[in-house]
Amino acid sequence: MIIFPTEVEFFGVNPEKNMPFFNEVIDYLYEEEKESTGGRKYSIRGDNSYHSKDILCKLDFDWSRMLAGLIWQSSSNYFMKYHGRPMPSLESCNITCWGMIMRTGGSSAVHCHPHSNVSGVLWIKVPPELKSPEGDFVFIDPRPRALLDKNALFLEKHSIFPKTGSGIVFPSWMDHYVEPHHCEGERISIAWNVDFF
Amino acid sequence: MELFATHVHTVELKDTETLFDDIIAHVKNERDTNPNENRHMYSLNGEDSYHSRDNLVNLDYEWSKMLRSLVYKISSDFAEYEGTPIPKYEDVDINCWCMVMGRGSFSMSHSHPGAEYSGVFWLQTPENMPGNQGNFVFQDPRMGARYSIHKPEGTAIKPIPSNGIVFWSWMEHFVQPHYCEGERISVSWNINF
Repeated sequence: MIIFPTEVEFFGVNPEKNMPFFNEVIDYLYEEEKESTGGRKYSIRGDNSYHSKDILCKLDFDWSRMLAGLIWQSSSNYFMKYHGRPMPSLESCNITCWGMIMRTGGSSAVHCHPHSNVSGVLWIKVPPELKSPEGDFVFIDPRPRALLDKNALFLEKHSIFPKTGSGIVFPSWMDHYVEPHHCEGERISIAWNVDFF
Repeated sequence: MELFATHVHTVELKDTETLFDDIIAHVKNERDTNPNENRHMYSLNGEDSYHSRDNLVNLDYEWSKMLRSLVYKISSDFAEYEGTPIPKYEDVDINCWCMVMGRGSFSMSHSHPGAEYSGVFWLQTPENMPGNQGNFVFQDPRMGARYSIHKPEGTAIKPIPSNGIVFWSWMEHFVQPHYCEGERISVSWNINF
């Protein structure tokens, strides 16, 4: 008998077809970074990394509305599949969404997304030379007592290698982090939280 | 994709009637000779309850030796499945005890620290015990899930005589009270090495 599994769902968009969309998001992030005087970095690490404001889904651009639709749809599919009921409509959900630019040496410390229901990430740019485990998105075993097993030296992990155009949806309480990458190039991802009651 | 699931081994025991009768007779005799002890031992609660000593597999009776073999075998099957085999029969410590739960008795949330594998099988349950009473309930070991607004309920297992489970000792669990006439009797154990 298997009990208490944690559900994570993959989704994807065609990276070639969506490249113009991705580029618009990336251009916006570069512009915001250029004008930024600093802000909260949350989990992001690296002296040349950038964590955008979390308003990417609330801007008056077509790409922002597209992004909101994509996030709502993928999160809604997840919620229906694993909770057996529909998520509230796009208008009734509060979606916070931000971009993370990780350059050589950049990473993300262990964190979760408190006070949200469903979270996710979509990778929109990955360095061509990136090789796992560098840049991996890593979930940590959410069962702290599993460490009491005498064979367990560390909590188990599950790593996901980022690919442009692919993404995952997961419960917001799941601890995760991003491995640093040491090759040239930027690893850019869009992350989000969906809140509703 | 499902990650970090927790495995529980379920077993259905065969030809255990005599063994169960011997265990119950021993435990009731132990209770009768200690009428004021062990009502609230460890997690057990209830005026009409009894927690035996934990030496049931170390006694000089045939049924005790059979019980030790049975407990070792089903624990070993689970350990093999989990990829962490346990040492040979002679090299493991097994603590094994019986819980007698009369009307209103229950077991508080607990785990079995210091052990590797634990298990329980049920010898007897009150007739017509409702589905929401007397169940063995695992609590979600994922702290984040437990405190989310979509928190899953615990996983309840209905006690059926001759059925049993083996699980990681760190898994928190409790037993719901029952309000029926009759006794819910189970044997539990810890394996350590």
